[in-house]
Amino acid sequence: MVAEQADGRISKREVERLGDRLRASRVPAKEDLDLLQRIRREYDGALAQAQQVIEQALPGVQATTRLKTVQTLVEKLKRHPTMHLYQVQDIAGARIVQRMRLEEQDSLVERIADAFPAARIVDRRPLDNTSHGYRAVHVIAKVDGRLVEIQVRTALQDRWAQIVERLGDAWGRQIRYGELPTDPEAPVAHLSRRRVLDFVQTIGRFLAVCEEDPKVTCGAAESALERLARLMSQARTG
Amino acid sequence: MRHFLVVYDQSAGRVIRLDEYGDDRRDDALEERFRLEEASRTDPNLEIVLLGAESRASLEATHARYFKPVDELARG
Repeated sequence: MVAEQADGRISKREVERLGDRLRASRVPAKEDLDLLQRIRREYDGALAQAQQVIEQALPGVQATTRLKTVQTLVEKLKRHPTMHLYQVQDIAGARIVQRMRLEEQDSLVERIADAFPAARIVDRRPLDNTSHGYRAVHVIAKVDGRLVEIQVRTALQDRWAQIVERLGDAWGRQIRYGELPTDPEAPVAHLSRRRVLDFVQTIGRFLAVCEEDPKVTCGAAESALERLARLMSQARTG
Repeated sequence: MRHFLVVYDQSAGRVIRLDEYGDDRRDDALEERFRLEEASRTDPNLEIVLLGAESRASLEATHARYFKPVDELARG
């Protein structure tokens, strides 16, 4: 029997215990996955509400929404041994990507935060505060008692993030957290996976500098991206 | 708002199924997602995700990784 609150929702204590079991499991039990599914339905309700708030408060701003996959949620719990399941900020997420300068991104973030009472802003753009090179601003909103993470990315920030995620699909998701790829010395054209990832990190720094310093154009970053494109195209077509 | 149920093969780097639902069928889409997750629990390579977006074009703009290889992502 799962403990519920007066409103029929699963209790915080029960959610916490579920998170601990998922973290400890080698393969999650079916009963736990079923309970997680119930919790995710609750988050989906919050996500739908968040989407409506964005549509009403920021007409014309398009956000794509999603519920986190079970696999990435369990991975997160295992990576953060003291994090409770109800503390995970991105079970429900929305993403906004626009071609914009950092000041415009600041303005958009402010408008989003104003639309959600007590929203918290996490700014991952400064080079000393990125998440292993990932840059964006996240607005953490509380909607109907559930956290919703609204990612706000410039087109350049998103382009870099998509590259790393795509590489992670093939080389191991751990690269998103600064770890080495699976088989790091595997060849990629004339380089290795390790060297390519180093290059991708360098590109990330170029992009950060050109976004933040108005005296620096993004020409060097774009050239580096083109070199990466040629390298990966060569690797793909052999 | 449309709802796109995406089944993505991570190692192959390609979408193997993409179903689109109208906003009035959000619950149906979520149930189908859960059903597919359950059916593919033994295959960690399959990523099953339900994305809400204004259009297919919006979806491809915010989640390009599902639709483009790295060289195309790098070119923007």
